[in-house]
Amino acid sequence: MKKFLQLGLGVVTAVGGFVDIGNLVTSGITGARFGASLTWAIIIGTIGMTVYAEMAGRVSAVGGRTVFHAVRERLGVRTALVNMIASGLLNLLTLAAELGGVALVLQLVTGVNYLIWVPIVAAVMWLAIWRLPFTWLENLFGVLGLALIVFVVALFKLPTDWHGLWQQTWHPRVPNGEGHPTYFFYAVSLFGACLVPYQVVFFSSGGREEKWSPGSVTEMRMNSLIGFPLGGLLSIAIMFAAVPVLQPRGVDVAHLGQVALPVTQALGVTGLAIALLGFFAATFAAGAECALSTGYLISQYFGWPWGKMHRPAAAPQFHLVCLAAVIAATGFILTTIDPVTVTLVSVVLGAAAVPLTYFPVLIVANDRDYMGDRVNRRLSNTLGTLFLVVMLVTSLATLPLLFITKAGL
Amino acid sequence: MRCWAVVTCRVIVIALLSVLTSCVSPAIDSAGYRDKVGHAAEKMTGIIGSAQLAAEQDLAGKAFGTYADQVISDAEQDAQSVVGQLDSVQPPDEASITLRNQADDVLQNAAGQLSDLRIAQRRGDKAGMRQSLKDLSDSLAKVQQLQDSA
Repeated sequence: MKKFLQLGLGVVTAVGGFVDIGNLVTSGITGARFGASLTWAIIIGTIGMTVYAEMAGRVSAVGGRTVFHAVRERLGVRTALVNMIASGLLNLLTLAAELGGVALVLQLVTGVNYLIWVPIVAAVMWLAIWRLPFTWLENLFGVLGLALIVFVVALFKLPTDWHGLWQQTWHPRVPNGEGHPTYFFYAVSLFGACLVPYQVVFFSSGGREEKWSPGSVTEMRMNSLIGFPLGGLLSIAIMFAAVPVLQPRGVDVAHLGQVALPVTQALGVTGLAIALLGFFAATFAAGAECALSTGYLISQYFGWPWGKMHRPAAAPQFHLVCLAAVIAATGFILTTIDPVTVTLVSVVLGAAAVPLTYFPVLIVANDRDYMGDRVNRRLSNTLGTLFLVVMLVTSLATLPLLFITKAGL
Repeated sequence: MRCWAVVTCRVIVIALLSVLTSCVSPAIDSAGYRDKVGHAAEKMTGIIGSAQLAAEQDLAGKAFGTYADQVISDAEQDAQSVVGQLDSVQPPDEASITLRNQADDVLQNAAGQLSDLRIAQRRGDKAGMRQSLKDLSDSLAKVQQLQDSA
């Protein structure tokens, strides 16, 4: 029974942990603007994330290697340094977006300007990273993030045109008045929101924190193969909920508060409160994961002791990097740059950077020296290679699309 | 090796020039100006829609005050930004100046009504909110007319 509960908790945590500020913002924007015609981008992104998370988790459990160990071993010290700097900067951008997201939720609840909340949220986040045990940090906010299921409930209360959503999903086309570059820019943003590199780094390092062994592969697979797709469904629900409420009024989502309007319309104050709780938990958890991921990847590159499995005094560099990441992201968001814009830029740049993180995982997952008989099978390799090609194409298209569309305008 | 260095330098220079030139707004003609007015009207339609939705939810007791206030305040700021952005564009000819005056009138009016709605909402003035919503509906029709004509 305890084992069953543990498995269930892992799945629930993966569902809640999948959604972050990137998914909230991009799903809200695209649902209001493009209807369900970009659902395919979430589906592809979620499958890609699931395939690579399973691989990274297996490498962690069987090979005892985290993603960044693999990057350093397989790409060499110099290339890995470039990779580490790029991933670290991207993490900082994402962390700034998450901090801003938590502060915006608090502004929606209290009416106090989000800039006042940012340093307070940062201090609490750092304290949580410093003091809370890893499993608490992971499970508590993961479970609270499940509050976002309220979007699924809202869909059934709203006058949802299921047939229309189905048609738009399976026969997608660019809506009238929208250009192809803009359509594909937002497809990239949805794709990037599903495949954020920090999540894979966190997932594999988390495996080491939880002392995964070859016997933990089933648990890890449940988390990735069930949890992440269900998380993808939450993103789709947020997108779909915007269609009957925001699209008919031509609302162009530019603020986090607008993402909750469909839930409020369907379920009133209770629904709104639950949605905001979900926003808070998802962004806070993602922020903490992002700060930890920065600590993981830098410590793993330099070979320092890392992780919350050590007492802070035994891994001082790791905790210092986490603290520095939180301070830097706080400073960045306090420049008054719009958190929603930061989110959009971070997910799009994330889409450009994903092959750097994912390629070494595919290589190590095929190495018999590390993996023994748990190397990738044909299906994993076919899917992994296919998604790597998709990631490369996306990566090459990202910056031109960013400039051509002026970030989706 | 030297050849690679030259190619790399050229690619960097071209990339920098592309970025720099994309930051400068090109001079626009009459059709381009009409497009900008149409785009501003389209944006304003969505902004009004967002504020109306939040205000209606607040009046129906579906949303708590701070939330509705924030969504309406955001809409008000977005509306002022749309007006400011259009004002910053130089109309290229006489016809565009006429269109600008017409658009400015409609968009300024809508932005003002969003301010009225925000003030009424913060004061808890339900009657004032209903009146602002009614005014905003009229404004929305004019904005949509502007969008169609531009």
